Amino acid sequence: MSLDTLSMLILTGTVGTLIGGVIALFSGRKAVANTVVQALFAVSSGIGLIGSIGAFLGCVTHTIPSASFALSAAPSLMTIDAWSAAFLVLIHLGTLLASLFAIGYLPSYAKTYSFPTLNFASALFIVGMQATVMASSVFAFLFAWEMMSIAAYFLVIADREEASIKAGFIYFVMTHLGAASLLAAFLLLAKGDMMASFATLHANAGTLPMFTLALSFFLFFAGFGSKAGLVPLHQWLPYAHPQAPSHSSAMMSGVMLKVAVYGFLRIALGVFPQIPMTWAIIVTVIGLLSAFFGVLTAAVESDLKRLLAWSSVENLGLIFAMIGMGLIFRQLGLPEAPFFAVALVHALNHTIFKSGLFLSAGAIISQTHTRDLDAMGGLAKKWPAFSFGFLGLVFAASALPPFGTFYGEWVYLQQMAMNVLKVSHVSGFLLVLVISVVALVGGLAVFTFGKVFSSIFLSKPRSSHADHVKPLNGFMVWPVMIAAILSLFAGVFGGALYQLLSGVLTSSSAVPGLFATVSFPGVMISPFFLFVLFVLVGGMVMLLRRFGTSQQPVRMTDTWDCGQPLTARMEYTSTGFASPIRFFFRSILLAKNHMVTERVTPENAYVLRRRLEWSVSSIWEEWLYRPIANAILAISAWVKKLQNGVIQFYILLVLVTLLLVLVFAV
Amino acid sequence: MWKLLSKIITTGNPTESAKTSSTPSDPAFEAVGNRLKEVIHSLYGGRSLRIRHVDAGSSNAEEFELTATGNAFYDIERFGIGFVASPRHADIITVSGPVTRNMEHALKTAYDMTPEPRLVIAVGDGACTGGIWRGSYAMAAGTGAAEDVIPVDVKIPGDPPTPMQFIEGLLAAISSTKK
Amino acid sequence: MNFLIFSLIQTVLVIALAPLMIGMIRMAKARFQNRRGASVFQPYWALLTLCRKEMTITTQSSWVFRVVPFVVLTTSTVLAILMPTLGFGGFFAQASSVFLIGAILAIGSLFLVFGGMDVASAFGGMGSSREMTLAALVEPSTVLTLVTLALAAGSWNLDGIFASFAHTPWYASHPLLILTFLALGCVILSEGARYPVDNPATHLELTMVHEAMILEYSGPYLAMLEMASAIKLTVLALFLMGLVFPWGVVASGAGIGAMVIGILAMIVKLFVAAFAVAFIESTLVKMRFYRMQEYMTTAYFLGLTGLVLSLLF
Repeated sequence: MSLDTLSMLILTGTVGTLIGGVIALFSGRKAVANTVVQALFAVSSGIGLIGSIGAFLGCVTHTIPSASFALSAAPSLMTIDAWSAAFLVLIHLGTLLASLFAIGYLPSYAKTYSFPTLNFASALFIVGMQATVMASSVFAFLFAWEMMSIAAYFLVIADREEASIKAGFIYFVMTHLGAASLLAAFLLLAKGDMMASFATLHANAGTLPMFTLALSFFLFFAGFGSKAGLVPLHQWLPYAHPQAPSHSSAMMSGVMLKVAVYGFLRIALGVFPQIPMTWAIIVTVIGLLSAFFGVLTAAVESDLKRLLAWSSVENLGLIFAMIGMGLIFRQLGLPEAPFFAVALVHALNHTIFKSGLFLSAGAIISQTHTRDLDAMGGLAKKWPAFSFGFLGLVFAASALPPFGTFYGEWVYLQQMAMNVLKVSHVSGFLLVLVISVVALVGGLAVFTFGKVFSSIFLSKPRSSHADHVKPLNGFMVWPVMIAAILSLFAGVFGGALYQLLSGVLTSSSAVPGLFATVSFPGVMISPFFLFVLFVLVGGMVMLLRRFGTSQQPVRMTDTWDCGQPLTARMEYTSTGFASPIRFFFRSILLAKNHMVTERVTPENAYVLRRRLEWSVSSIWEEWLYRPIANAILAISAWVKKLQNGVIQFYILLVLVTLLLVLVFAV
Repeated sequence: MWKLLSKIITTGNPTESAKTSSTPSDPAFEAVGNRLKEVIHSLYGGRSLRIRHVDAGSSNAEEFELTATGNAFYDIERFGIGFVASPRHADIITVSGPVTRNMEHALKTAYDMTPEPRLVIAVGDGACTGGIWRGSYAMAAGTGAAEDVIPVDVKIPGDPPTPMQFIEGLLAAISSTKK
Repeated sequence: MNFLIFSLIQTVLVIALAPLMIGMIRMAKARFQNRRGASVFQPYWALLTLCRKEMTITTQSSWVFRVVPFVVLTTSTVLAILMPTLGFGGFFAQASSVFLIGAILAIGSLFLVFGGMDVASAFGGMGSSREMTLAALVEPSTVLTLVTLALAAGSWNLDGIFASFAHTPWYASHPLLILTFLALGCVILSEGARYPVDNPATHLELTMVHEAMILEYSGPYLAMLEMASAIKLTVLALFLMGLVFPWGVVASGAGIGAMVIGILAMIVKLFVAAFAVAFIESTLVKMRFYRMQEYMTTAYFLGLTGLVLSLLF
């Protein structure tokens, strides 16, 4: 396809979404209007998706001028190159799934959400994300970034509940701290010129002193890191993402976080001439810390959507750890390209499976009317097809073969491990430590998602809502299925995907074959071959069962529980399931158990009832945020003493100030 | 650990050999055991028998004797018999004690979930007839006999039956219903 | 073609010997208890009996329950195909990456957990929660030990590690790898659900991990799960034995004579492994589950020390 067609398609996607938003604003709260608007969003995203895939392939194969191509409408503001195109693919994919889902999902919430504002905010949010990755100048970038962030605020508070408004407030504060640091960082690099392009920034960065560079780099890292949910700036994410309507949560967790990744990659690779070792190590360590805390908290979390948000913290942490490791390797003079490619692979996979998981969470919650995993259960019997799709997403989220996430982590581990002997002993040892942290994160991710699947779909329903769920609307099932199938494809054809995304960095101009392998010196990984092996062995096992064993009909009986009548109260809940992890990591999770004994009267020995209370709190909240908040409050309280309402005292203050001014002026 | 090892080595093997019994032994037990082994071997192709024991309210006397069958002296494992934890894994259900009301449901479900072909053996007087508790208000089906709750193939009387009587009963059960 | 036949022989042999390994462990344990014990072939008869029996399934279960045995047996078989046990240079040598093994083991554990949770009983849930925790915590040690071996051997797939140690035994080149082997042993005991992590012979539901999850399976499905767990233990144990005692390890192109010697060596190694497991089970007590993190960190730090020492010296 020609350049014009492609830019036309991408532009149509953006404009279509905007038109949808405007229509939503004027079309009232009817379900039909919502359907039309969401369909328009979906069609626009579809068109944009085709356009951005075309643009990506064009950039990678150099059939399109390699650096960038400008959108004819606004050449100085918006350009697209391979990086932008890659992230545009991701954005369009996420919004396509979410909009399709919203057609089936939103009508049942007509009383909760106001469709005009929600859909208008969604449109601005989507367009903001698209514009951010296309922006070519500081002003365009920050404008689009703010549009995305502020629209997201309205998505968080869409149901206007108390909890949502509180979450929205936390989000608003954090996102503006982030935006402020971005603005400062950009202005430092651009020497105050808001209209500077990224190319100018790159040129400036070569001339600026080291201290300014370091300051702006860490301001960038804080700004993008706070949006991506890296510790210690992750605190808003598990509050804000779950409060939005589920299709918006899918876009926020699946897509918006990737925009932060895009920003960081663009700055780190495109603007800074080089990243010193210490900076790269800090990025990696923060990434690994986020991954570890994210997955650990997810493992003990029982609120489905919050758990998924914590898992996003984990995955974004991994992506940043991949980028950081790439920067480290570049400083060491070792091959760094695989790390950036694998960060892209993981970002794409995370978009697919996390969108799918949030959408399925929406579908589940719309029927069980709770986000609490402890009150679900038994849905696999009622929704066999849906649970099968969800199982696929669970595999993807746990990074297990044959799904795409596994190959991302595999290449990451392999690439680190292969270079252990090429660096100094100490660095090699640290690399192995990183490898085992990633392995632990992987293990805990399997735990987390094993828990999620078991608690939602298996055993008996633990609440009457879960017991009486109705069949799901097709619009709610299919996006989830598509996400699961895409995750599987991303794994089965993982070699091709990896090579394709490597093309963003290297100057390879060939499109890899579908069954391509991933090769390193001495190692060759063939995802397709492994998949075939699994399928063949599975088929043989089934044949063996069919012809090698007795085929008597199965007799259905009760569950063996030593003869008690079985009730749902006997089951392991999600909380119970995670109890060992809560115990083993109690010092990190600040987990506390204590027995509360209620007596008839305090002096009386008779016990009315006993119950076990447990709590888990965040180390960051306890040891970082709370001290800061307390310090601010303490200073405020001290300052408040000045405000004692005595007029003479105020006049004294004015006098003192005047004297001081005089002293300093002279 | 070394103490334990030296103990293991110095104690030797008190299980009498099936063929030549040099140590003090119980030839009758051996004979029955070997016949049992042969029968199990000819059993529908498989050569293993798994037992799930259900204590339906016994005085634990039967349980002591059943535990004794697994010790170094009797060691019925060598005849291809093993105790398992779930009725779903079992071929044989052994019931002991008079069946109390509280255990009636448990016994029925345990029987129900044992896969065919299955056998039920009532071990001890209580399970056979209800024993001295027969007719008590706490007994299931009024009598407390296992056969009034689930179909019983073989009864092994005794209070408690000895391991010898137990494996004789097992032999009788399997031979009576050769499948 | 030669490679394919070799892989086939290796896989079939391991699968065929898996119940024997269980039988030998039980036999050795019986001897430690001064009993005569069942025949070493007893597990074969038990499996055959199960295959011919009826199946009873709980009414609480969903489709997941019926899929579990197939997936678990598949993952174990894939392990048997990928991991070198008899020798090296098979058809799947390239695919036996050190990072893949942990993931395949995790799939098996995950599905066992689903099987345990699907039946809605407290026993299944308890076993599942514990199994999942163990599987998560053992992962770093698995990856660490395999990476150490790979670094020492200079190859990134298990097959290459096997080949390298067969050419230059570890005690000649990296004697301090013995710590890594100890750590790998800890990992294998945990993955194989043996002492001190799990008690395979218990009848008490509260002390179960693996057994609690398969309480509800019967007939052919139970046979599949028991077979899968036997294969897993055998493959892992033979892999470790092949590394520690690299004698009689066959190269894929070897002649009939070497092959026969290799198979005999493999059976001897199997016996030694079974004896070692039985020895551990007769002399140690099972650890309390809530002390498992000590076991896991011990394994991890053993592995780490092994890595540091073997890389430095």
